[in-house]
Amino acid sequence: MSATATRPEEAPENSRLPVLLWLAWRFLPPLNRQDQRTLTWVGVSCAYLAVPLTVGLAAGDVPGLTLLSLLFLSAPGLPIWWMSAIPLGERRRETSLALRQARINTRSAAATSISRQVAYPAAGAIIGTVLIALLHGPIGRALPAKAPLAIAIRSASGNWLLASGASVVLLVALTAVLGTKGSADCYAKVRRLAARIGRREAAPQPQ
Amino acid sequence: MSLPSDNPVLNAVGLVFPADGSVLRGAHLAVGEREAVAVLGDAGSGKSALLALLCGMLEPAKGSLWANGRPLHVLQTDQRQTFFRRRFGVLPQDCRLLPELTVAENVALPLRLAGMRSSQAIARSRVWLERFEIEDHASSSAAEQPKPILRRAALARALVGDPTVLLADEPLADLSAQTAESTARILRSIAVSHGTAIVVFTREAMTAAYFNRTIKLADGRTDTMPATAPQAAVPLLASSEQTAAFGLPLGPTQ
Repeated sequence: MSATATRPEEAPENSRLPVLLWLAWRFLPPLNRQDQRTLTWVGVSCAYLAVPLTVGLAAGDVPGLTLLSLLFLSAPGLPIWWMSAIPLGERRRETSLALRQARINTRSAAATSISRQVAYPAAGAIIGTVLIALLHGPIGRALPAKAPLAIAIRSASGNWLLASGASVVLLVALTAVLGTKGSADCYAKVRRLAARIGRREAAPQPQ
Repeated sequence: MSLPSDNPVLNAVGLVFPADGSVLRGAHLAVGEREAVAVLGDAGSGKSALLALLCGMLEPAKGSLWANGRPLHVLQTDQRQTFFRRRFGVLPQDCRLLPELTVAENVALPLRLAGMRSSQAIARSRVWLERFEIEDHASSSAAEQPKPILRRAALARALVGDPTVLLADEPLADLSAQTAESTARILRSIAVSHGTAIVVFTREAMTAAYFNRTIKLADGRTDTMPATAPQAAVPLLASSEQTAAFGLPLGPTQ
């Protein structure tokens, strides 16, 4: 084949769809160990956070204190979620940039590059919501009667399916928000502040 | 002073950007078919802005831009963008390949998006990789390749669609002297064999010396005389995201 073949004509947008879907599929597997770790953590944290979120959404009238307790319950998952969402967002931006350099228009590049940013949080969130939707009965009975999660489960209106769907959508959307450049800058500031506080705590006190 | 081509494929006349001329205050550029020219300018001379104007990512405050004898201001935004996608190859300084794909798949991507079958596109991309002397890396993942290979692969990707004009920002950066020389020779031969007008933007006089003609850009002005000025100002609209894709500065109109 000669490199001087005829100039390819512009394909209509709908005939590009299979190529864009193929690209979206190719972006899913992790590239290296670090990537694998990021994707695992984002999935695990979304699965963990899906539990209090689904219970909170399914609950009817619950005291504010119970909701606050649910927030505290989700606290251990929040830093991991934020930390792992940032590299996921960075990769999405880089992929989008590379796609646009390969002559893909901005809208298609954005839609194609988002595949992994949706897939992994969604997978984690689905696992979490399915588990709590199926097991909320036994969990509610096993917990002490005054446990916030037990109170929230008891007051659940029964619309677990709707709550599950809403929490998956919320977690995926919020993962995308946490992956933005603004969020990464904010995270860096929080880390610097925490390190400064840590150093102050560790400094020897004058006798 | 550099003389303009008689029958330019790409003709920019009196480009001013932004309105106060603080970046470009009258850049002329006329590049003919089969010509490989270098735009030489120091940092801050307006190279990136000129590149952005030439590939339609920024809108000039004054001046006109014609490609293939076609006044681009007549085209609608969509038509103009399609025109640039089909007729122009662009190599940004910060060129990126998709690490999830092989080198050949990356080069073949513009062809696949143009509707070519995968096997055909890969075969054609291999021809281009061979031309740039990196065919051994065709089946390797782009994630594992060093910068010089990636840059030549990005050049192959910019050229695989057989564009009328190639705009390349520092295409020989990261390359050893020997590889830079051979890459420049390849680019010159492509200009001749494909009739592609090649415009290379560089700050290195040595890089500029590899090409047929050098246009100096200093303080936002080129040292070339304008070719026949065809028409009035050309509004080249562009989105900020498109501009960012090529690592170019955002204009005040964005």
